[in-house]
Amino acid sequence: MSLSSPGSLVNLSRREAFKLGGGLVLGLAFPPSPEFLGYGPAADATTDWLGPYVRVDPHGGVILRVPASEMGQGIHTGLAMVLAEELDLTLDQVRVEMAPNSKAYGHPSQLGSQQLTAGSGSTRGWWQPMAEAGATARATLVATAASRWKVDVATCKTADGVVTSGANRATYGELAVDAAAGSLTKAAPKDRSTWKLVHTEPQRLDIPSKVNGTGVFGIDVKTPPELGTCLNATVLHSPVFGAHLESVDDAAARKMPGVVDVLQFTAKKGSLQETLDFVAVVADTFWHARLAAAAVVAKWEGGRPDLDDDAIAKALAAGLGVIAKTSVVKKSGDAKGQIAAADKTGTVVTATYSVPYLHHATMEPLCATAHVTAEKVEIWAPTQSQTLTEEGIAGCLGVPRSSIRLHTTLLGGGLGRKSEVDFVVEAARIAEHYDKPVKVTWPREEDFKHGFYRPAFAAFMRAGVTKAGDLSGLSVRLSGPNILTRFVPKPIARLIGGSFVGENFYENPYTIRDQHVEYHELDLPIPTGFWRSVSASHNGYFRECFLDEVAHAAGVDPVQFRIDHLDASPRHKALVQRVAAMADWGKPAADGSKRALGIGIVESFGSIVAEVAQVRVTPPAGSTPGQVWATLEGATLKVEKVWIAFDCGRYIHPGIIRAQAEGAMGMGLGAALGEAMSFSGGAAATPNFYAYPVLRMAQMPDVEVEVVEGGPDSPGGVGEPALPPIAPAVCNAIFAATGVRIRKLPIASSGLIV
Amino acid sequence: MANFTLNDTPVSVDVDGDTPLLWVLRENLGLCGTKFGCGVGQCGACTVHLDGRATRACITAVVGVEGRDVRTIEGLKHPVQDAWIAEQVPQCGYCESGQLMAAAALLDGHPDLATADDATLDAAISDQMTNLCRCASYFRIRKGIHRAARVNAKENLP
Repeated sequence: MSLSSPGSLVNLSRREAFKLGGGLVLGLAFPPSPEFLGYGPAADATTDWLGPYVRVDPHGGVILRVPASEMGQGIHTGLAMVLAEELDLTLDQVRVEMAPNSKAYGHPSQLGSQQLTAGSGSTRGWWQPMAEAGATARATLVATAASRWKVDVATCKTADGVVTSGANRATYGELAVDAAAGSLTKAAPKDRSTWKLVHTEPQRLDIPSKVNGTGVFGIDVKTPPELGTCLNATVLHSPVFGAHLESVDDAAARKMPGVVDVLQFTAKKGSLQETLDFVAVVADTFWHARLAAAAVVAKWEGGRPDLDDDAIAKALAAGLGVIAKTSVVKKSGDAKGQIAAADKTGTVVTATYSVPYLHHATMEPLCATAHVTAEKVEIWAPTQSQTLTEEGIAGCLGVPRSSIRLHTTLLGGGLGRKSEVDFVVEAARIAEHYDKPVKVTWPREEDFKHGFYRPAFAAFMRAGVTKAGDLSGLSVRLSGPNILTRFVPKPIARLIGGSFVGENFYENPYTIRDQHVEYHELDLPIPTGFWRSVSASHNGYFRECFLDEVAHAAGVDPVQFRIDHLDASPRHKALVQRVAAMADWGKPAADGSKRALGIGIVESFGSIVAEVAQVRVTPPAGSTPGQVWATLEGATLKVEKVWIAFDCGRYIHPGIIRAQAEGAMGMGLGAALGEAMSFSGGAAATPNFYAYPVLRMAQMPDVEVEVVEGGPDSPGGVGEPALPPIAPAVCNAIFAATGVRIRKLPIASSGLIV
Repeated sequence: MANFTLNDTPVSVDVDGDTPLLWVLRENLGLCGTKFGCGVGQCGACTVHLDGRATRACITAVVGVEGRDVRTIEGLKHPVQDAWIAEQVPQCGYCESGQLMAAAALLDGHPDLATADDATLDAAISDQMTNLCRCASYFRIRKGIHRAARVNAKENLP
């Protein structure tokens, strides 16, 4: 071939140590360079750090080490803006690099102090520490300059990376070495009235590398040549959940081109999370490994072959009817008495809703690269979860945590799946057998078969409506698996599970005096996990659709009904009013025709999002349904427009928030329209995207987003909260169009063509 | 031995003819901008240009590109890339190479779209842009294609 090898994209500048605030020196070597992420050239390795996050480069610019993984949510840009604001830098003077795995980078306020990018928690957790780091770095540079010039620090000014005092002038770079050698001068962040960069919309730092193909995702890692030629592997797991590996016939596979070995592994629990039995096919290239894997005949025994879609539906339904195992998660007043009274004198609204298992289906398949020697374990992975990865590898390989160096790459989507560590620990277990690095890539089919799925859930809800049209009591029974049982003992999971899986009922913004919420925990052998927006993804749909039914029974407009019941939640109330105004709620189309609108409002991860959807339902050719349709079978749904009002409290970059709102809404819309995992014979029966219709271009509506700062002066989450309101907004709009309620997701299961 | 032109440079690779072009690009030629998403031609993350047409490299055997012209994101210089930056399209960015190759092929293959009205362009986008984006950045992809189309229109002025 006439192309030379492009060589290593990974420039591993080996820093022996870096300095933490207070002079503590930790032996954290080998962080990935900025070049690794494709953001810019590697920084000079001789300078020291002003605390764990900031380093001033003597040759210009400031390096920001961000503890949170970049998976599209824009956190690297957001936190760089916070730093630039405090350090009086322009954004292009900040270079971001991903922090290595270290306790120093554990989440400051949530997530059990783990280094973990999850729960829409990065801006919420890191804004203040980054602002303090920037303010302290600025004060330290100013003190260094003042001391050099023998002037009062009060005479010093900073702008665009330069300190001045009278005729004296020094760039941050010129002060860097002295500043790092001295002690840090602590300083408080600026008052928000002086912000110049925060609240503006500069271009994201990660985008240039994503439009020219140079961004390095986990699957693109090229290990340093001195470690030897990287092997490639792929993996096979049991198709049936809970089965173990009985035997492997790999005779044919071993004879195939490029194959190095076929390895068998038994389940091992290294930390809270475990790796299952699996087979690894190791070869020179992934393609050769993939071909050989197809020739491996593995026998698996055990599991629950009787488990299928019917059994799951029956279990969900049974859960709604079982009282003995049901736990009360919230009780106020006398909902049952009120509903019984309404039954005599008013109306009782009763409905059962359900949602299916969902898969993350990140665009980048699961992958990780590992190099294991007697001294150290080096990992390159697209992970949300540095701490659990470290724990899992330490536990499974029996190595000290301090020997593990984790380079986090860009993530081709995380969505919660890459907070699980199975795929990275497996790579380390495979690499243990070789003195060279091994890259492990999962085929898409393995990814679909071995998800940690958003659990299926069902809700049975009843509400009383008085003769006067008032809501007089709400009773809710939830049925579904409890993700927390994977992480804490079952009795504790049950104790705290109600508020977790009961989210949005447990904390209900609506003033409903008499409420009774119960949760029946379902035990099914299907792995479950944290799917973008977690419990809010189903409870938002249940609550907001059911309240729409109640509003209809009460004869009140759905927006007005919400406003009437939100007196105790002024942020919610204002947001409903805002989104209704954005959508011209209640007004006809320009041509005078009636529009079909639906609304949903859901709080999650410290933010509140209200969405209005406008839909058009077109009957099948030749039919002319009246006002209320007998069936939706064969009709076509088009979601034309979505308006989003997003209250996330204090915020950094409104453009990134709008992008996250558009995307989370779109992901939620795809799930609402068509996504459902199917199961048969105890296994996932949905092998690839052709059976799992995530949102496509043609289905994406126009979107209008307004970012509203309605809350206290603290940030809310951004990545997830725009997902839950779309399913109820669309289903309520379908009711407005047709008079038919969608009580089961996905919408396509109603017969509507989506 | 497979011989083809890659980003204007002739290459020859010693590889089995059945090997998908995707893996020849990524593993034999070291160009990792083209992504693996599904392996069955569904998601479009592996989209490249084959003689100028958007083609899914994961289901294209390298024997089928013998003597032909292959372009990947590494060899793309197109107004869609500037438009993607202007509209701040990418989120996770994993599907981006494929989206950009598909968008560039759509506009280059249909020069009439540059001066078509918005509705016509929208219909073409809905019809032709079948690449998946799990971040659902489709709204901005659409805006990016509109912007790039109008740039093309200006460039085509006499």
